Amino acid sequence: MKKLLLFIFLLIVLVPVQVLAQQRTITGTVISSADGEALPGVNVVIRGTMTGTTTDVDGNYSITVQNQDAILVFSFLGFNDYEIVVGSSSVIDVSLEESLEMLDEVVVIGYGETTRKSFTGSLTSVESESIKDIPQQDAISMLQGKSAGVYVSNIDGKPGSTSSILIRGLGTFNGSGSPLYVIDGIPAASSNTFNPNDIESVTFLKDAAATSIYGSRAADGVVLITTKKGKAGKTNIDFTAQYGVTNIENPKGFQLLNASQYLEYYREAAINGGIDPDDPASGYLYLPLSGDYYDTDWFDLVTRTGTTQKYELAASGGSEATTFYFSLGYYDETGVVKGSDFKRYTGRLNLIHKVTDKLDFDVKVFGSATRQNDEWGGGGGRGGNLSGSYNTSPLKSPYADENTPATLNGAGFNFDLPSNAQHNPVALADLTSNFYEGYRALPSLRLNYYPIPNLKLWASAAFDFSYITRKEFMSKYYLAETEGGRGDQTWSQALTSNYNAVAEYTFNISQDHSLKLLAGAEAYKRISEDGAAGSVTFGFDAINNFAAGQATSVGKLDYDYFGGTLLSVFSRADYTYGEKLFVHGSFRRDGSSVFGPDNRWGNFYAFGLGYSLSDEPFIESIDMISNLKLKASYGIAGNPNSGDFDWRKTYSPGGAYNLPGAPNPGTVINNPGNQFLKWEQSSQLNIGFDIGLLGNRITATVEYYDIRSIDLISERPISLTSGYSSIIDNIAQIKNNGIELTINTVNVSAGDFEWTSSFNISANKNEVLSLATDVDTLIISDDVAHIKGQPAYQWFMPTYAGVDPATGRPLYYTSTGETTFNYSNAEIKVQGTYPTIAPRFYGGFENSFTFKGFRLSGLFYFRYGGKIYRSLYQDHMMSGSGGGGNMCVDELDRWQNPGDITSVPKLDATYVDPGPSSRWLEDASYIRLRNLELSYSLPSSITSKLGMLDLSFSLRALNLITFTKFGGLNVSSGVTEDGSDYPVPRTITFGINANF
Amino acid sequence: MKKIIFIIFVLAGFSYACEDYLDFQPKTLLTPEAALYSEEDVVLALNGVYSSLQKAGYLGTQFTVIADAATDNGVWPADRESSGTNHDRLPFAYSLDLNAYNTADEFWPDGYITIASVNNILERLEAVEFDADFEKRVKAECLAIRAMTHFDLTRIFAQDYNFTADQSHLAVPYLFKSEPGTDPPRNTMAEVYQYAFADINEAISILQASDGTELSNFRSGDDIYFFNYYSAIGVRARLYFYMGDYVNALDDSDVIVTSGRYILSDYTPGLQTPPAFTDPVLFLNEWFKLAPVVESEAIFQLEVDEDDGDFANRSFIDIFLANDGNAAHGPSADLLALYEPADVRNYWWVDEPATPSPDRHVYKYPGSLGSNADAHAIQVMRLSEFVLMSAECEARVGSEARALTLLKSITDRAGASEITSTGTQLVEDIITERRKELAWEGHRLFDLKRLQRGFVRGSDCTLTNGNCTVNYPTNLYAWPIPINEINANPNMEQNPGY
Repeated sequence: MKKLLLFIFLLIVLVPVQVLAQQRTITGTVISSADGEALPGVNVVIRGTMTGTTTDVDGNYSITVQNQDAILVFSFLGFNDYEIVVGSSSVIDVSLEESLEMLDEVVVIGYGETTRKSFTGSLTSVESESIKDIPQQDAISMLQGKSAGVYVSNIDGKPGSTSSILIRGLGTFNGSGSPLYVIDGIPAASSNTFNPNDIESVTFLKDAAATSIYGSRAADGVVLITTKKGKAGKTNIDFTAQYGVTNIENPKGFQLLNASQYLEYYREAAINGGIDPDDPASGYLYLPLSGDYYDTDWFDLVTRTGTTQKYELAASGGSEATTFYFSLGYYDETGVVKGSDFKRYTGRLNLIHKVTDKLDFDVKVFGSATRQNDEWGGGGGRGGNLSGSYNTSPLKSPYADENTPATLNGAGFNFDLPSNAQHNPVALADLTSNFYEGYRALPSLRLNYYPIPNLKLWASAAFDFSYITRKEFMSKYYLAETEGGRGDQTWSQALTSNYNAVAEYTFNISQDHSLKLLAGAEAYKRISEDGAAGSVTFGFDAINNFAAGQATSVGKLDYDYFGGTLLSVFSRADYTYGEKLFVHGSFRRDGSSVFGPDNRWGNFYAFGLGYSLSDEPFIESIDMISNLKLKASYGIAGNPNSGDFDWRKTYSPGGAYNLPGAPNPGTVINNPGNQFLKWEQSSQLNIGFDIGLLGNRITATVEYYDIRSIDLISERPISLTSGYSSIIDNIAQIKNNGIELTINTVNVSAGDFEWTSSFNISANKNEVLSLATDVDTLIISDDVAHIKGQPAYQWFMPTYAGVDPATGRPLYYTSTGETTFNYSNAEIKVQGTYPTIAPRFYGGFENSFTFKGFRLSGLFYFRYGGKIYRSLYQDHMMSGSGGGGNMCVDELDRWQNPGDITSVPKLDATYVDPGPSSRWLEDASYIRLRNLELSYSLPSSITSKLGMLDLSFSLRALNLITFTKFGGLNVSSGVTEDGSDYPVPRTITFGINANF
Repeated sequence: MKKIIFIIFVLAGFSYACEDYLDFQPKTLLTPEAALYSEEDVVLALNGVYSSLQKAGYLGTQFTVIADAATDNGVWPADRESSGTNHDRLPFAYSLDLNAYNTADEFWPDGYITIASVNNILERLEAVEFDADFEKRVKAECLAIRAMTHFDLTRIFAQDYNFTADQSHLAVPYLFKSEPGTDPPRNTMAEVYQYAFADINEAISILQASDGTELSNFRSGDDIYFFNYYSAIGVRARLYFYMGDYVNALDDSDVIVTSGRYILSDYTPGLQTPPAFTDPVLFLNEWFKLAPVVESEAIFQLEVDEDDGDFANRSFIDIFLANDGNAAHGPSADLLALYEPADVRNYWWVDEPATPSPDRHVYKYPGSLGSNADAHAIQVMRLSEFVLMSAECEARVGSEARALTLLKSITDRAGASEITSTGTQLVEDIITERRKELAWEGHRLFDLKRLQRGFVRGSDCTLTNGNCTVNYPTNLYAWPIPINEINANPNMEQNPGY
């Protein structure tokens, strides 16, 4: 019946057109000049009239003209307008050139899209080209250096690890400062489960005008990830295969003593400490020169050449009514440390179906499975594969020999290793396992309804389900532990659901005034549960599940439950005047379960203003300037950086008062709660301009921002007489301000050769405006403090004054500037007022050269300022008191005789390391050639014979070279170098990509 | 109009639904309403209170260890580790290198956790009607615990009661409510005693039913693990005793001593072979077991088991007893010298046959030292304490004859010589007998303070910091209040010397 009505309707509308058709009908096809593909949806208008049409899914159009002088205007977003006089031809095929101007580029924003020109906030977006085919599972880490204002840190090489992002500085204490991730409109955690090849674009929303539509979760910025869609037309099949090897980038970065150096070192330490190394009673310091020793390079034994493999199959296409994108992916990486690897299987289907002209729906389904092997306990400490190798004496063999006591021979491995508390790092890979198995599903459905022109109503439902289980097992033959084997299992599951209903209305008030309105509501809920169980004392190695042990593992039974809900209404209005003045306003009201009833609702808003000066005659007349836009925004975003139940006063089950022979459960006080707890609030100002010169061959964006984050949530110590030690409260304020510069240039564009460059740099200044009342210094740990008036997280420790040439003992500065041997008399102070843990500035410089089918591109990332505390180095510079653990070769520069000038103290087995000092701080600046890629595409004359659209080969190197003064293995892993750091590998891969 | 009403109705329903949706409840934690809803809930919370008495900071370890280690009863055993975990188990308790940072830093919070938990229950009892007898019993136990815990806090963190003539010296905050975020100042000693008397008097009056017998208990079975009428009386007796009010102390102490409910336990030597011992060694059978120990005289006793959790310091199985032969604290030679050779109480102190060298350790209440090696009974109150209290009071303000009779019951049981002295010498002998009988049960330091005496440690004291001799008055008798309290609470005044 509906179809019949539609038919009648079309008949009524179309018949008069047919009647008037004695004029003339022009038909044709519109294609893109770049790739020759048909362009659907191109506007075809007769100039000076209201008559027009759009091309269909195959790029075809048909339009009726009155006479030969009529001029057809073809226009399409992202392409230059094209005009042609009809003349006598009845078929006019048009090839549209892509617009060089970035101005009308469509950008993804919260709950919709807009054009770059009309956008008044601050965002940067990275397209799929930069992300796809990277030989790495973590898309986020590859964005390092790509975008101004986006600081990507904690990059290490552990298979399956993910890096973190900080947008425009740290504005919180209680949270991580990590932005909100939104995948296809659904707030979802970023993790190693995602397939980067599915990504169409990643957009970083950086200021309030861009983010405050996300309200309470937006203060740290928002990362929008959009996945690919199919295009109507021929089905396109894309296949990629990639294989590569990984090696530790600088294996010499942390060099340890060999056997003879070790012997010399500890003998000297023993003698200086009054211990006789030739006396068998000296324990680990009994090191006669005549001893029978091995020379084991433990580091070498626990590391290897890793591999990375990746296979992707994607298909996309569809008809006018239905388009699809489908992909399958497999990623496989073995790490440079033995015992670590990661595999991922992914599948995605994105489907859009048009039911009628007024109704369509959009279904997306993503699923993944991951498998990861990690070091025992996640690495670090004596029981880490890599960290254990640093501790173990090179004089010892990893394998048992005839001298190994039977009680210390575990499955042929030597556990007579007192220098590492009997842990054998080589045996770890064989006798322990730490295995993760993860699953994730992300289904979503969205309905779009267009009841009247310019009005769009949509509703969506989306779910994010993940399940991870971790099985840890230690063989009973791993004799460093005395429990006779251990089996643990932890599991966690999380479900997020998100529902949206949104209305969008666009209308032109008059020719020069247009208004776009959006209003919507959202409900969001997340629930996560995790549990743990374990047992010890195993009879068999083969039966090694968490329950198979014959004794209970104390403290290994655990369950936790978290979750929260969020309800929101939001709206946005964008007003445009004459395509040159843009006014933006947005508002959101959020209610959250992480606050008490009186404070759970918060309002967030933003205003933005954009002014395209280049559309004014006085600028338009300057040829050099092709684009100039000023913009400014101000707004408030929030942060619910509080634990799910922190506001509640709670009791917990526990405090059992067990009587002899009779269990007697109890409840105990748990959390004092704080019903006055409220949102962290961030007020953000952004001003900047976009400029394009020489027909946009040079484009640049400069932005300045000032962010004040107030009511920061933190634990506030309270009187212990309350029964609690601290209460969660809104206590601190932080300010971030900074400047960001991005320049993109087309340096050479001559014939087949093109050279383009992209450069960005960001500087951020962080300042703690206030801590809790009357507190100027808040000590966070034994070497870090927040200090009012200075950046957050200052290194706070005594200053090292070097070694006393007379005695060889370490010296520290007192508050009066004198030197002292007595560490406790040293002045504890901020190490350098600025910069501190954060860099002074950072950025990226990327160049790309193309010539015919060849393409060479390289990205340098740089970071300047900031210091890393080398805790690991400290542990291996123990001045002879390392208990037999291996030490760094730098120790060989030790003081030996009065008058020696060195920064390494005298060796003494009885020396006690006094604690942190500036001796262990090192500049964290570096420049790294993050990515270098050479690719070649076969000419289309050859590929067409092969029945392909494209066939290309690529050679790629990640982390090929790093320039830094930093001495450790990995300058990019974090602010503290410790034993659990995983070296960042140099990866070299070869890839092949075929497109049908 | 109907439409408007309908819309208002829908909106109201929607906003109610919103608040409901946003009230996301925890599943591993209890809200205050859920935690103390029913009588059964209140019982669980009260169990939680009793379990907090077992915490490592309070009777579970710190408080109990300090009371003897910090006096002439303590010594560092010769085989104490020179470094490492065991070395670090409360070293200050003996060395008296006291500071606000890490000495008795667990007792202060653990004591106040007990008080806050008690106050939460008392607030709930006021707000809700429960069964009358049940409510009275719970209230009485809570009040007794509140009085005892505050009193115990003063024993560590304040000078003795008579330190100033008008008791105007600072004691600890006496709290009737848990109000996180408030900054209570210290009450004077006079105030703390006034409040403690109010609490304990009320507890006693509730526990003593109208016919003079004890109020019925909702629990079945033995009540030595919970406060009853006699343990409440015991708290009040201690208060009087520490004040020097020997008349009233005697009255209360005699309520226990003459009740007939408790009789002195036998001390029967018996051979036992604990793990790590190759040969059997004599212990006292009544002590060498899991709770209840010395059952016939136990008034209030705790069974502390490391496996029950919250014993950060591995309880004191490692401090007194065997831990690869190197306990962190032990009995002093001067203490051991007090026992005559025939005294069966010598079997409380045992030579441990471990490397590097045998050393005499506290084996007074070793639990079973068997399958449940980390569990043992801790005396909070037992009859012997009150027999000795009555004796001391009689010797000071009453009948010396009765004092001697009471004393004889203690010495006879132990196989020690009878005491026959009179006058001040009798008082001295009772104090010494008290030191011998109650050693390492949490009394010596507080007796010395009560008597306003210092102490001199014997030749086995190897400290070089001058703390082998402590003269009264001393700052070492009012321990530093933890720095976290001083930092967080602007009204908190630190004790002199820290």
